[in-house]
Amino acid sequence: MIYLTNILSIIIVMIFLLTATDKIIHWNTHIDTIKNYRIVKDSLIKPLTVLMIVAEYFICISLLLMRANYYNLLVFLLLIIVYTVAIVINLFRGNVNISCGCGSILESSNLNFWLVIRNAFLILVYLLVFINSEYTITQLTFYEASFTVFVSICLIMIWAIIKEFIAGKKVLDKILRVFHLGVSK
Amino acid sequence: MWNDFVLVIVLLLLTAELGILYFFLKYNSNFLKQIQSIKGIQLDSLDIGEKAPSFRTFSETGEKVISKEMFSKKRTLILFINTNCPTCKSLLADINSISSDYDINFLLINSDNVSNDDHITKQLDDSIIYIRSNQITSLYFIRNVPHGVLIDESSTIILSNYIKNINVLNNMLLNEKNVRSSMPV
Repeated sequence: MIYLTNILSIIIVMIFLLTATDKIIHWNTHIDTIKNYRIVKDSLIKPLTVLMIVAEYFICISLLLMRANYYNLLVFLLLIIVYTVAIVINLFRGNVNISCGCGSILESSNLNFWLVIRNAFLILVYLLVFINSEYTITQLTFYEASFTVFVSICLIMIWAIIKEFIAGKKVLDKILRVFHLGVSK
Repeated sequence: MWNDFVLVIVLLLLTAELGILYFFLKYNSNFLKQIQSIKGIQLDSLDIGEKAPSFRTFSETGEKVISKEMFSKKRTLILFINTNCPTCKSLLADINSISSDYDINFLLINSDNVSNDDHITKQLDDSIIYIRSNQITSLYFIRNVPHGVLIDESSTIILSNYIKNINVLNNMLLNEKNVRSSMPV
């Protein structure tokens, strides 16, 4: 259990680190995406985005340095619930052809129900880490800690590779259709 | 000790390998996107047989337009125009007859949100739903106007054409009507 808890905990840290950094790097694109949700007033978008990025970094740092506690659990739940409610509102409005603005490996070019399921799954993972928060990475030897870190990175890389592969396949299929080419099976 | 060291090295190599694979896929996907800039190839387009993107908006008369509901009731013709397009102006005089001759929903979408459109509104009868939206025009990847898109009751695009004159629009609807009537019940 100690390995699983630490692997899941590092995965959450890495996901939030990547998404928060991606939002800073692509700041203007992210602001436009939030505008497309048509939920928040234009004047509030920038302060809210800053708040969300700070919250994401807070989760990363506190989870890495302190372990899962009530504070970071509360911030995590608030953040995920806000994101999910925004997605659900736009799903009901039919405004689905917008980027989800999740950032980095969580990014999706349109809104769909799977994003809600994915967020629910993320909450379950975090709760699992929280329940087993007595297991910390400091209890592991150097080699065991390295093992958990590399396994977490590998799992995230596999996720990113699968996403990239599916996206590339879609574009390739479209090109084949444009040129009226078929793929022999 | 030795086994742990080997395991960490193996995981390090696996991470590096996955990293290379990810960046290769990313490079490949960027290359495929670049193909879109080659003249004559439009990958960002909606093909016949694809699902029509859904939207929610208000018409110029203040009526709420929910595309999903509208599409499901009967076939829908969306005609994309622009206030300043001369061909669109020539079409306007005859589109009222189209809307009365065929049992379809008729949506007229103007990609221009700014210019004075009095000459358009004056010519339209009540059966035509007139919307000014650049966003919907982009959503349907329309680059040249006037452009007609015919959508069936299952929200599938069945025809999509550049409308050179009113005859093209008439023939487009007539051919589809003939195909439909010849289909076995």
